[in-house]
Amino acid sequence: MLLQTAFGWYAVLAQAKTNSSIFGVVTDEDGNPIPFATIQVSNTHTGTVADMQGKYTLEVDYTDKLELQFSSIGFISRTLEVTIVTGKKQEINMQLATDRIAVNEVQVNGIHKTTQVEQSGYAANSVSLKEIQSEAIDLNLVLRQIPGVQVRQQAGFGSRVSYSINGMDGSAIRFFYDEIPMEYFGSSFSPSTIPVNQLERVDVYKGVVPVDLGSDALGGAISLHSRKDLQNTLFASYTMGSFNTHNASVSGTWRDSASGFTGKVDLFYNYSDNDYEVWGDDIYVTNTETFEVERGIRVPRFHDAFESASSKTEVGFTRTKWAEKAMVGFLYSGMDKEMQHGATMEVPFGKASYTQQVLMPYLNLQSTPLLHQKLELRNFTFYSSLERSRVDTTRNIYNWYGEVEPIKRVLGGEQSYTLNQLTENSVLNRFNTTFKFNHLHKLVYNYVFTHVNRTDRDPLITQKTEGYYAPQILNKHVMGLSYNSLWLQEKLLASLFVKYFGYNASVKVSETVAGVTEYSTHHASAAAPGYGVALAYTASNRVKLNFSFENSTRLPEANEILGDGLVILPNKDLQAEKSFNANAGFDVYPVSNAHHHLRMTGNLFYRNVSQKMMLAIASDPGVFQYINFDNVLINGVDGSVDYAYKNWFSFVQSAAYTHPIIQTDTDEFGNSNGLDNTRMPNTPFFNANTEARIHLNELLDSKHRSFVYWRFNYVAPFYRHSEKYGNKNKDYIPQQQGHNLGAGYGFLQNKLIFSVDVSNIFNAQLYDNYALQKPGRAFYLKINYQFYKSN
Amino acid sequence: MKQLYVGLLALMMALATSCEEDNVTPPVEGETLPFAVLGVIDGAYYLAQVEDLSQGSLSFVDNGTQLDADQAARVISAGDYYYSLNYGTGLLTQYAPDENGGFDVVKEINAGLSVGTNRPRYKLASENTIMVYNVVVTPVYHATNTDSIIDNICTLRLASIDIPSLTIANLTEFVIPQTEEAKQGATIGYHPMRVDGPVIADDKIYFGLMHLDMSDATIPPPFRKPKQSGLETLVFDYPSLSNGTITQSDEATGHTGGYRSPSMHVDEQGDVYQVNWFISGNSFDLSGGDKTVITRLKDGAYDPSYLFNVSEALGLSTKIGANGWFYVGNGIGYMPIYLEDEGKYNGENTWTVAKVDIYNKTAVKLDLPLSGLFSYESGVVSDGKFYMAISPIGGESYVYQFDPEDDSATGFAKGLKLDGGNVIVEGVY
Repeated sequence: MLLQTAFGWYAVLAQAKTNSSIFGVVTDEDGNPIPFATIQVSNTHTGTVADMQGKYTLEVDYTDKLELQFSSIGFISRTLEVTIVTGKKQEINMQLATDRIAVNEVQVNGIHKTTQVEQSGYAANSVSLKEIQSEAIDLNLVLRQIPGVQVRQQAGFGSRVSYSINGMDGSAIRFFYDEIPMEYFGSSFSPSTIPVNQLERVDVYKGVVPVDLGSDALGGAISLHSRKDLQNTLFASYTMGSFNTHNASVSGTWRDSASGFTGKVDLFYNYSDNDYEVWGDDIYVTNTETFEVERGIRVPRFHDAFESASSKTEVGFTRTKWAEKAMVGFLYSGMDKEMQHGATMEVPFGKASYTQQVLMPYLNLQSTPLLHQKLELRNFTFYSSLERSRVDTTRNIYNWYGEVEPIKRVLGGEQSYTLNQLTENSVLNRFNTTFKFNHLHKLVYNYVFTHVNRTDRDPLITQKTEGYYAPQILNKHVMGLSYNSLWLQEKLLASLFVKYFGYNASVKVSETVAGVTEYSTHHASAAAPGYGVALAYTASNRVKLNFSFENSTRLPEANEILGDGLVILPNKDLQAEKSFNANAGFDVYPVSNAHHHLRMTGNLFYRNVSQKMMLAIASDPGVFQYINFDNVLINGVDGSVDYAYKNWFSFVQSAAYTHPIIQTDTDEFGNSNGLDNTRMPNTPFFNANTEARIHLNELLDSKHRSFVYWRFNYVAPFYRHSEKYGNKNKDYIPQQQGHNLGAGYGFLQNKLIFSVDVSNIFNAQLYDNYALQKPGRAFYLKINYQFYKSN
Repeated sequence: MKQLYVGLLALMMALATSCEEDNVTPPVEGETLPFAVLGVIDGAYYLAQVEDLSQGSLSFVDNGTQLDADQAARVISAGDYYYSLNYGTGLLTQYAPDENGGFDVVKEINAGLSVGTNRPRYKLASENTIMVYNVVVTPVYHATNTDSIIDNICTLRLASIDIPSLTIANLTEFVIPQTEEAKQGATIGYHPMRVDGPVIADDKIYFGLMHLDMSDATIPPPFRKPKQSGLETLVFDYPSLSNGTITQSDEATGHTGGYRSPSMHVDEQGDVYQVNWFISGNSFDLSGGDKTVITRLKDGAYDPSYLFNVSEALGLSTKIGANGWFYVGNGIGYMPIYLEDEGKYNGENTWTVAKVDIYNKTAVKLDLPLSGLFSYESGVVSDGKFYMAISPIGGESYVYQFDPEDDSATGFAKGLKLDGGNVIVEGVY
């Protein structure tokens, strides 16, 4: 019945033959496209919806004047009288002004125009960073606020961070930068280092990932979008704060509107001593005469400095007749990190460090719409050269006062004696094309190919054969084809997609026979299909429903299949990890009037992971290897309530509950698994976030932008190991209650904005991981200055 | 939401309270120390008390005290206390049993720091002494050709710790002497890289030695490229820890320090009996025969008048291996043995136990279910009986009671039932 209705309606549309058309781009005041804006001939049923880039084409069979109405959620609608010239195509670009009230409603959760991501049928959250670009915070804090997302930071600025979405974590979560997989960008160019003011928005896809994001993102994707300024701009920010933290950022765009010649620069620099205080039972010193241990001291960290820098420059042409975009660019990023300790804080280090550098030239091409605006082609290619060095050779033993103990190590190395240097040369190519049959039906094809060639060396390893130096190679192919269509008077948006994942690798394996170690190279490959559906149904203006599922695959990573050259052995037989993911959610607006705006979202999720890769002890003790082991069943729910009063107050409460259960009855040796049917250890299961914000300028009717906000992050305590075993002295991660307070004020027509942020205002002992304390109370001051912005 | 928060707060407070350490109650004089069982699952170590090893059951579900274990926890018992070494931080913690089946911390010292590592090894050397040690091999490079290693210096750091006071009594650094053969470029190039299994007999302390070809660090220990022929034991005067010498024997080949289970025991006469450890076909020089033996050491040297060829005494069709044994008394011991024909030495059901009589030089393979005992750590002797856990992969796990009076292959009985599965019991104490 549904199908019949839909086809009938489609047939009517198809009959509307005409030879006049209007096309153009709908943008906001800053020139950013407004996706899915509605363009309608007033008082008729003729109309269309703009695409993701705000572009639209409307075919009309009127021969005289008509009135076009442009509208979109969060923007003030505009109408324009147009004179039709039969047989001609006319370009009409429209700029819509932000509807302040509506924007405040959506800014509550930073939704903004990002609603289109959330209403695409995928279980997705999209956060516009526009409002918080001037705040002295980092992207991890923003991600932490998103329902269902867990950010686990090991220590201070620049420390290792792991992410999970709806209970799936590690390599199951993939990051994208302008839809390009970030696996080969290095940790110096990552969500922890990229300043928020160089980003426009971040989208989080939970479990089901659109084909445009071409990677084996088994558990979800976090997609960062850089600013797309098309006018001439130059802005900078500088943050200074506790622990000798400094962040500087400069971004500029210059475009010659006649030729389309465009240049773009993004620079950032980060530094922090991370010398925040740590305390408690995990922090101890030893009396070097009696060797007795004094626990519970309070000391600053002394070997945890972090420095990173990045420069991204690109030049080329944008919005020309012959190409929408043709840019050549170069990314450099590098970092230098001291290591304060290993897996827990108990043993401090004083010398170990690592550095990493990435050089990445790239080419970004995007066609102008071809074949009567129906076809778009995009291609992105990079070559990346990543070097990572670890230095850990000291014989000194340090204590938590930063002193060198009178006793020396006989052999150097605080964590492991190494001068390991890893070189990873990668090539990535992403081809993406969209074919629009009409505004109701389109096909998207996406193909990402990556080639990784990795070599490592360590002068401290004294005897090597030629095989040791043999490069290790990993090729990955991820393809996706998606059919997206609108049905039922455009109330139902359906995306059906199929994916293909494949890899082949050359794996270096060592074998010792009769005392002689031979290195040989083995070939391994695997391929798997994936498929899924995303449905969004607009039941009414106030009720939207989403449903999606995906049968997905995660291919082994380089480290997992190739080993790490140190203690992780290669495993040429490693299989891909698989998961069936499903989501069902709602997005409702129970109240929306001049004073009160209320929005509620909720999402039920289900994940069934099989052949989960895990690190296990290999045949020889002290050596590890990735194997396919756990099956895990995850159920849960996340959601949020957003409330706004007029245009000056907003409040958001979000929460997520995750219930991941191990479903593996025997272990890799054939033993019955005691952890079967128990909750996954070391996994947070409940968290909640609160944010309240007041726009004082709106309240006081001032032209100076001014705001205050409060953010609260809560994570329930959880055990590090199985909840089932033991009853005393069990390792656990205590509850976290982190409060952040901030304010900002604008001067000089808001070109200059000062903001302050006080994080962890109650100086609580915060932990995301066992025995790894995060920073206490910290103050940050940020200065944002807009040097130039053309109109 | 608020209610949810309140509920969770209550939950968290309950959790926080339960995680706090209770006040330590010292063990009551005269009471017998309960037994303890060490279980490992998914990288977490739990120690639980049990009154009787010969019957009943013990589960770690909601039971047992978690031991701090950066990489692993190694447990020994002596006197009224248990001791756990945190392998990874080097902290040595003394525990006393509490009244609820768990353990309380009595004292801790940084034993690792005393010997310059976070990953020391340790053993109970006598009822009043724990030895902590660390061996490091540093290559010596050619003066001009810095790629060429001409020698390796094997430095041993030793700490002797008095118990139950848990105080460091002596610290020594010693360069283990090695023959010219051992140096790089020799036909047989091996170097001492680990000492273990110390025992104190009279005024001597004996350390077993493990040798490796140190020239190839790409293969992880402990199975790099052992090319050892003969047996070596390091001997010091005790308690001065002076006059370190190496005593050698050509009777067999192998490491002499054991792996986790002890390699050496002192009998009632004050003689030291030692088992060798090799894996045949794994590059040991077995030209003298593929044999697991027990040798005797007296007055700081191998006793040439004594050799017990366990392989021969067992008379099995398969070759065997061992990496430690347990002594009950009156010449009787129990030795976990690896049956080569059954498969790999680790991760498979390829091990059983042999009863050995070191005085009469007899051995009998017991009819136990095959299991994996490669890294089994500790057994208990109580009321003349020996107890150890047998946990076949894919089967049920029990503490077995062994009767030294029974000379048959069935001289044992199933005792305490354990969790089984992948709850690995490393030892009973």
